[in-house]
Amino acid sequence: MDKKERFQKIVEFIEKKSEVDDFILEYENENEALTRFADNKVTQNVDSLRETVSLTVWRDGKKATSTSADCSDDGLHELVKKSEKAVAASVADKEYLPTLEEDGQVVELMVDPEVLKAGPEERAAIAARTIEMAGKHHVTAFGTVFHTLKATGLATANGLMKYYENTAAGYSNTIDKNGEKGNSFSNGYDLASMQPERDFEKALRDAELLQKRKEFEPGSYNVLISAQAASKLMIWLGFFGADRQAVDEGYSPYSGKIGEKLIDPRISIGTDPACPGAPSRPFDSNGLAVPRRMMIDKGVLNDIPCSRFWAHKNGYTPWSASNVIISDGTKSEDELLSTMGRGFYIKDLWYIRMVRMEDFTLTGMTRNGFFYVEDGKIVTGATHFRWNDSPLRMLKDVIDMGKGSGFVDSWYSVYTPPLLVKDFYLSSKTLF
Amino acid sequence: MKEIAQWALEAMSAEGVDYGDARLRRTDREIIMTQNDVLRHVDNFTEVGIGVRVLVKGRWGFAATPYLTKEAVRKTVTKAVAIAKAAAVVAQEPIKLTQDKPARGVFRTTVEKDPFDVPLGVKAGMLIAAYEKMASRKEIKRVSGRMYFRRMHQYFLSTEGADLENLVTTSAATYTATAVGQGDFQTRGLAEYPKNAGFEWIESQNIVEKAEEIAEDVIKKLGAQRGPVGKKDLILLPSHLRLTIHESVGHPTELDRVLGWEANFAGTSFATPEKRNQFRYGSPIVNFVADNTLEGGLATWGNDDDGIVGKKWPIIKDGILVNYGTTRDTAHSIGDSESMGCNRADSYASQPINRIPNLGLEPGKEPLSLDDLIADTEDGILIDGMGSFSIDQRRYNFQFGGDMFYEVKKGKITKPLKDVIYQSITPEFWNACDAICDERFWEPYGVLNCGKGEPSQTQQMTHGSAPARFRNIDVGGAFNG
Repeated sequence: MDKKERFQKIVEFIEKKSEVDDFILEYENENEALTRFADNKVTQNVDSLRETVSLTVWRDGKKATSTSADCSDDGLHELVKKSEKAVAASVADKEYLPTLEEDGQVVELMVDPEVLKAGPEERAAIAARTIEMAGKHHVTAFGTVFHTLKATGLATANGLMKYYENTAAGYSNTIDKNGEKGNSFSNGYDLASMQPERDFEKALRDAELLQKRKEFEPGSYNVLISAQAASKLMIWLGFFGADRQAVDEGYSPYSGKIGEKLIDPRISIGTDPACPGAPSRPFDSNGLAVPRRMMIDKGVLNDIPCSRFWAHKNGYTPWSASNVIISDGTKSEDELLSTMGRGFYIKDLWYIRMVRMEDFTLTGMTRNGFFYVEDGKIVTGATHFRWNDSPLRMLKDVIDMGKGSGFVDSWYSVYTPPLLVKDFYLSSKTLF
Repeated sequence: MKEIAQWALEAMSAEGVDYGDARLRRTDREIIMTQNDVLRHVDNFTEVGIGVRVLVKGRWGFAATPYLTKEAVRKTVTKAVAIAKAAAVVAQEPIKLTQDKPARGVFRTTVEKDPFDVPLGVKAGMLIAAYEKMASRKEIKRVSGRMYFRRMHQYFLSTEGADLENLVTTSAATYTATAVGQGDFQTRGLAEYPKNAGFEWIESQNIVEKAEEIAEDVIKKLGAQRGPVGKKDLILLPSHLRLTIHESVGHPTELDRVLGWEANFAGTSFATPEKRNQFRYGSPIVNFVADNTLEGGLATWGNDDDGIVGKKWPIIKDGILVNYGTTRDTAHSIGDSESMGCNRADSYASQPINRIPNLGLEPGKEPLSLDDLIADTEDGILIDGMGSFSIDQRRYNFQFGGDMFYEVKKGKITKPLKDVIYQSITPEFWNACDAICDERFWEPYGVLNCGKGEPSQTQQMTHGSAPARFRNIDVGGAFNG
């Protein structure tokens, strides 16, 4: 029985056995295989399978969710009993709306059969090749190779049933030469997204360039942020403040700003589950189809994701985002670099956290490849900084953008260009 | 249940592995989330599966499955062996394990009230009652409540003869109020105080009774002055210090990180092995002790996922770095013949990795109360609760916020502040510690969501401390740009 059939059988079972007023059933089956190497040796080699069924039920106006990893008939029977016991002891759901009915959405699976063929031998071979190249160059390699297949299904008591599968494949490496590190990674839904040789060369080149490093003083500088680094920064736009209720009630960085020009008019930010470089599940946890929709359209704050309840209460259209897609330009990073005057080239960022939600100030570190630039050329490596700045401020003061790249993350997929930004605040130094 | 783990060992024996272990784990987890008087999310989750780990010719192989038939378990062992053998193409030093004596025993968290037997209405009701205490304040727009309960029941068997059973229960509750007014919005939360304990721990925290004070605090923050820029003495309360300890002492002393095994993701550490027994990590009054026997400690499981029984050992003694958190496959790298028992997995489906143990700052040896400490401070800021946090990839430069801030001037608390951020370099910070309150004020706060590893895993551990003072720390630099 394939996973879709398994999901359908589970739905039939729940429909027959469950005696509730309404339900949403979510099925997940994930096979995650990863080889990890560090210090030129394989340190972890895993292949795990997880399968769960999550049942949210309503009865007499109350709601409860129960999840089980036992999808046998006995396990499902227990799940039904547990959910009915939980809902009886629960509290009223004041935001209840009837679950969705069939809406005719055509769900396209993002599965690359080549990823399915890859096994431990293929992953070990890639790790072995990296370690071999590291040995030849007298450097040390750290990294991962992964292949994943994830299936999710969602069904409601009112007849909605959707199923989605996606593969993911990825490679990342950090190359250490005399204590200086370069890093590069590539991933996507298809095997072709992985580029181990290219990533090794990029990381090695950075580690070699960093053999010469100079210390600089904190301040505001023009910076070129690589697409890889920008993906780690821009993913935050999907997490915080993008909730219409928060905007309307006054505790979002977007409060009072709908219709305002927030960022450079060359940039639009939104969601698009079918984006080839950063595909995502095309329906949300209610089963609502995720549209291709811009939150910020040509610089203007256009619309904010909105829950079904809040939309119903206020006459809005409900919608969700499942990835972060940022419009891009056409230039390569090297072309953008050549147009820089003085500043820094940031290849990677690290430990990014919210500092002040009001203006979306984030903090983090520069990491791995970090270079001082003059007249469009890398002059020297640089010792690292902590930075504090806001992605909204950066996108308002963007000088230029390059051709984008997509990255699939376990939380959100992101498609983002490299960015040439004015006055990025490098706030304090560290000791390396 | 244990028989299923024994099937795995039989299969390992048939495959001729050099070492193998099987973890049959059942996890029950309940997360309850409220928003104002609405039950936003409640999930009662159960997961059962087996993870098998094998060493074949010095290479690890790990596989896991939720299917618990004899045939499925045998196939999973075969898969783990195939994965280990596939890694033979990589020319490398073999993985070595310390020769710890295999243990046998049973461990259970002390629980008076099983949180899974408490009706959902009671638990959600407490969070909603906390909101109702605040609802009359017009500035309060949102109160987000959360309760978290986890019960792990595991059998661990190894080819060396280890035979261990653990039943570990964790309980936590918190809520955060968001207020809007005076051209600003701010939050203030009831500090989450998780423990390995039953629901009696939640009841003892009086979370509903504290709601009015939380409401007062968050409204105060709206009109408070922004934190200063410059250098200040900081008095940090245990509800805040837990995260500073976690990031600037816990992570740097994980031995796998020291060896570089996290270089591709979570970073490395400045606390490299040649610094052991020599490096001045903190002032002479700073002592950190790792204790996986701590009653109610979040990392107190009885044994780790290498089968090593919980231990207690110093990490920093009189300010000097003396030890690390280690595992069977890392300890020998620093010449140790035994593991300190820090290998833990967050699920049956995850390979265990080197995690921070329960790691606490020892209380001050001389009598000192929080009131005494405040009275002794000329120009400072007192910080309660957690806020923003970030640290660099070698664990030097860090930046922290908090949840509630008070100015301290000439020995008195004068007014609330908001948006206070401090930044320091780890050894400079801990060397700036000149006073720690005594054991009467020691509180074992912890963290539930430490992220590490590829694939990523989440883990829990306790970081106890008493209020402590740090002299002349940079504040406010985050907003200069």
